[in-house]
Amino acid sequence: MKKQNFDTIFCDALKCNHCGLCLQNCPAYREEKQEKFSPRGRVQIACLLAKQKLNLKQDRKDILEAVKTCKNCYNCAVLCPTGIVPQNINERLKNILKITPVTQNKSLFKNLIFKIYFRKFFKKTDNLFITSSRNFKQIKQSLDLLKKNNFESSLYKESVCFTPYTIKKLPDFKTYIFDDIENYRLIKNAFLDSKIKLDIKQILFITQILEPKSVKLPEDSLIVLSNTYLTQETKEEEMKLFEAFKNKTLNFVNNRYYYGPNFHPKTVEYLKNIPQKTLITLSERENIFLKKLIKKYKFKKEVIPIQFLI
Amino acid sequence: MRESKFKQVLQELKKILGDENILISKLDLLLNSYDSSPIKARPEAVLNIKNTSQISPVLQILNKYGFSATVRMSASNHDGACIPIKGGFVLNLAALDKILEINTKENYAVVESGVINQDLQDILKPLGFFFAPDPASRAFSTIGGNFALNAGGAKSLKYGASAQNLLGAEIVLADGKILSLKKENPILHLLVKSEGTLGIITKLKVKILPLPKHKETLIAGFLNLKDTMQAVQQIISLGFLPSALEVMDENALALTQYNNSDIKTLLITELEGTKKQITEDIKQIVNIFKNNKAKEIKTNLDKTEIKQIWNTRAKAALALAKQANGLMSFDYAVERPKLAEAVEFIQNILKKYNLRGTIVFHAGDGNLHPNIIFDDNNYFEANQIKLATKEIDNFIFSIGGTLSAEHGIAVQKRASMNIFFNRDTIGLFKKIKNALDKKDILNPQKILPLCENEKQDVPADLQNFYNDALSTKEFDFKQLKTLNKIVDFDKENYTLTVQAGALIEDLNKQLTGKFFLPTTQKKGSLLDLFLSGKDTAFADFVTGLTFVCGEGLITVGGKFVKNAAGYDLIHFMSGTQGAFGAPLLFTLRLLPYQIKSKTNKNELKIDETLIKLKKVFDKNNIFKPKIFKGYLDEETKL
Repeated sequence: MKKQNFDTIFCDALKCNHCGLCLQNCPAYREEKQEKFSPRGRVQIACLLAKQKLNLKQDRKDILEAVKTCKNCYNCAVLCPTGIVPQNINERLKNILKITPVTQNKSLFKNLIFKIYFRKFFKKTDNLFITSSRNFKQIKQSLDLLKKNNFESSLYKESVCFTPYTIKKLPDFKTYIFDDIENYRLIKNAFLDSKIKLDIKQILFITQILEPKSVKLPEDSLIVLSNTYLTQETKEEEMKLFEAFKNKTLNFVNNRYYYGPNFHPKTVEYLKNIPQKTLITLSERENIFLKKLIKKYKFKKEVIPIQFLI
Repeated sequence: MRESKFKQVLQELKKILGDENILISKLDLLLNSYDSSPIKARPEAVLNIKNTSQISPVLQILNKYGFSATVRMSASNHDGACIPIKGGFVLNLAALDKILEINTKENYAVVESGVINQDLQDILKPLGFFFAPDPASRAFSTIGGNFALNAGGAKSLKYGASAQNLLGAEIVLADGKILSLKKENPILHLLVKSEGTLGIITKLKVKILPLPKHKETLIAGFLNLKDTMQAVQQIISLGFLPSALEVMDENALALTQYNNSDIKTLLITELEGTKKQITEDIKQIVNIFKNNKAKEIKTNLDKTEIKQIWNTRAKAALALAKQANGLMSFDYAVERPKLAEAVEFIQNILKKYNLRGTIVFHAGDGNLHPNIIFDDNNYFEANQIKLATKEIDNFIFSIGGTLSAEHGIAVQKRASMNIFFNRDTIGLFKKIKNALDKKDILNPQKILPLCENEKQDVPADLQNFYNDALSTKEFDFKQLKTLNKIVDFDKENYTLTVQAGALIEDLNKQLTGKFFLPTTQKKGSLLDLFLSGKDTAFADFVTGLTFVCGEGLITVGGKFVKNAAGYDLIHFMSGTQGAFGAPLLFTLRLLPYQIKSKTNKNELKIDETLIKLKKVFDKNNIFKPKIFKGYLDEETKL
C-alpha cells in the first residue's frame, strides 16, 4: 500500500502523544511488560507505518506478533486523553494484515441445533435481536418479550466478543437490539466512529425497549456494570439508560483486572464484602467471569443475567 | 570495529539473559525510541531484564566494551530521561515489579524499582497506610522513576517529595558493583536522584505513613489570580499546613468544563488530621477566603463530589492533549509570594508567542506547571516554544526559582542548566559523573549542559573562604564561627536564610511566634548539626546550600520547597563530617510546629565510591584531612 493510504486510515493514530496512560490498563502489557504489547506500542506501529518508517512486507512478522496480543477489552480507550480508541486502530491493523478478527469457535453441531430450535425466528422483520447468550431458554424468553412490546425481531447469534468490523458481516436491519452490554457498546462505538459508515437507524439495549418499571430487581441485588468498551462518547448515553436504577442498586465495578489468570485482590475483596446476595450481570462475558471468580474464592453470591428478570 | 564489538557484546549478553530477552528487530528499536516528551532517538538493542541479579553482570559487559545503558520502565517522562540519545542499549526494567516487604510496625516498604505507584497504594490502603509521593501520573509511573527524578505531587507540601520518603536503596554502579545503602549513607540521595546517570536503582526502601483519621476538602472560586494567591499566602503564613493546595487557571477550568463560568481561578484545599482540629481550621480558612473576595465557597462535600474535583484537576493537562499531538509540561518552582508574578509573566509570554496552554499549580509549595501544546510536525511552532521557554527560564531565575521541581532535567532542560547554576557547580557535577562512570555509559548526555558558562564573581564576604578552599593548607573550620548572621527571614514564605556558623540557641531566640527550626536539637551551631548528620530529618528541610570545596564555590537549591534540578548535593553534604567541603550558607524551611525527629550517632563509613568522590571534591585533602588520611594513599598505590 502507498503512504497516502496509511495516512488516511491511521489519521487518528497520529494524534497519539505517547503519554503512557494506557500502559497499566492493558492486560497484555501487565503480563508481558514490553512496549510492543501495549496499546501505545500498537498505536505507534500504525504511526510508523503511516510515516513509512516501518514496512508492511519486511516487518510483517513483528507487527503480527504485536497486534495479536490485544485482548479486545477497550480499557485503553477509557483513559486515553487524546480521545482515540487504540483498539479500533488495532482492528484496522488486523484488517490490513488480513487476519480475521476475533471470533468464537463455532461448533457446527451446536449451531445446527440452534438453527433448528429457533427456525421460526429467522424471518424478515425491521428488527434484529443479537444475542450472545448460551442459554436457549433465556433467548426464547427475550424474543417473546420483544414480540410483546411490538419489537418483533429476527434472531442473530454472535459470540461473547466481536469487533466493530464484524458488524459489516451482520445482515441489514433497521434496528439492532442487544442483550449483551459489551457488544452493545462496541457497535455503538462503531456507530459513533465517523470512519465506519453504517446504515443502521437505531441501536438498543434490551432494557431500553421496556418501561423502567417493568424490570423487577430483587431487593438485595446489585447490578454489576463494568467499564469494558466504555468510551467517553457512549458514557453519557449509558447514564440515561440506567438512570431508573440509579438510587436502588446500580454500582460501577472497575474491571481493570477481570482478565488474565489472576483476579485483582481489590475486586475480590469488594465483591466479598458487599451485603447484597445477588449479582445481576449485563453481559455474557461478565456472567462467566463472575461465576469463575466466586468458585475460585469460595464465597456465596448468586449471579443472574438481567434477561431473567424482565 | 564497532560492529564487531557489538556482535561480541550480544553474544556475551545472550549467556546471561537468554535469546528471547534481547530484542534487535527494527520494530522493537523504534518502539523503544520515545517517551512522553517530543524527543526521539533509536537504541541499538533492547534488553528485557527479568531479575534484579541480571543487572550487575550486564553492566559489567557494557562497561567493558563501552556501550551505553539507558533504563526504561513506563516511559512516561516529560523531558526525555529514558531516551537513548547516544544509541547503545535500553534496559527494560518494567518486569521488576515485586513488592518485597511491607512492615507496618516500623513504617517502611521494600519494593523493586518497576512497581507502579498506584499498585503500592492499593495494597497499603486496606492495611491503613499510604505512600506519600503522589504525582499526577501515579496510575502508570513507576516508583523507581519517581525517585530517580524526585517526583512530588499535590501532597508534597505536608509530606515532602520522594526524597523525603527515601529510607534506603540497592543500586548498581556503572562498573557493575552492587551497593546497598542505608539512610545514613551520604551517597544514597546523590545516586538515587541522579536520573539514572550515576547508578541503576534495583530496590528501594520507602517510608509509608498511617492514613490520616479525617480528611476534608474545600473549594473556593475567585475572580482573579491575585486574590487567590493572597488567600494562599495568608493560609500558609497563619501556620496552616494543608496536605494539598491546588490552583487551576481560567484556561484549565474552561477545558475541563467546570460548571461555574464566572470563576477565573479555582483553589482546592485539602486538610488532614483529627476531626476536632479540622473543623476549627475550616472556620478560619473560610474566613480567609471571604476576606479575599472568594465568589464561591464549598465545604462539606460528599465523596463523589470530592472525587469529581480531583478528577477535574487530574484532567487539566490531559484535556489539553486532545487538541494537539505535542505536549510540553514544565515544572518551575518559585517562592510562594512570587507565584502570582510568575504566572502572570508566563501567561503574557504565551500570548506574545501565540501559544496555547494552561497553567495549573501546587500553590502550597510554589510549584507551577505551564502545559503548552503544539503541533509536532510544525517546525515554526516548535521554534516559538524554544524562544518562549528561554524568556521564561531567564525570568524564573531572576526571581530566584528553580528550573525543575519534580520532572527532572534530562535532555529538554539541559541547555538551561547554565542559567541556573554557576560554572563551578556545573564543573563539579561533571566531575562527579566522570568519577563514578568513567566511560560515560549510564544514561549518557543527560542533565549536564554541553557548553561552558562564564565565571561569576564570588561575593565579597565569602572571598576569604573561597581563597582558603583553593589553597593547599588545611582548611580552618573554626573561622566559620564568625559567620553567624541571618541573611533573610521570610515570614510569608516560611524560610530562613542564615550563615552556617549561627548558633541554634541564638536563632531560637529570634524566631518568635509560630516559627520553629526543623530540628529537636537545642545546642550547637547549624554547621555542626548539618555536618554530623545527628538529626536524621534535618537535611530534608534544608532547601538551599552554599559551600566551598576544592572545586570552588558551589551553590545549589534556593528558597523553594521542591527541587529536582541537578545532583542532590544537600543530602550528600549532610553527614560527611566536613571532609568534602565547608558549608557557608543555609536556606532552611521553617515549620509552624515543633518537629519530632530521631537522633542517632552517625559515622562516615569509607568505601571505594566515597574515596572516588573525595578526590573530586577535595583533591588536596585540606578539609578535615584526618578522616581520609590512610585511604587516599592506599588508592594511589593500587
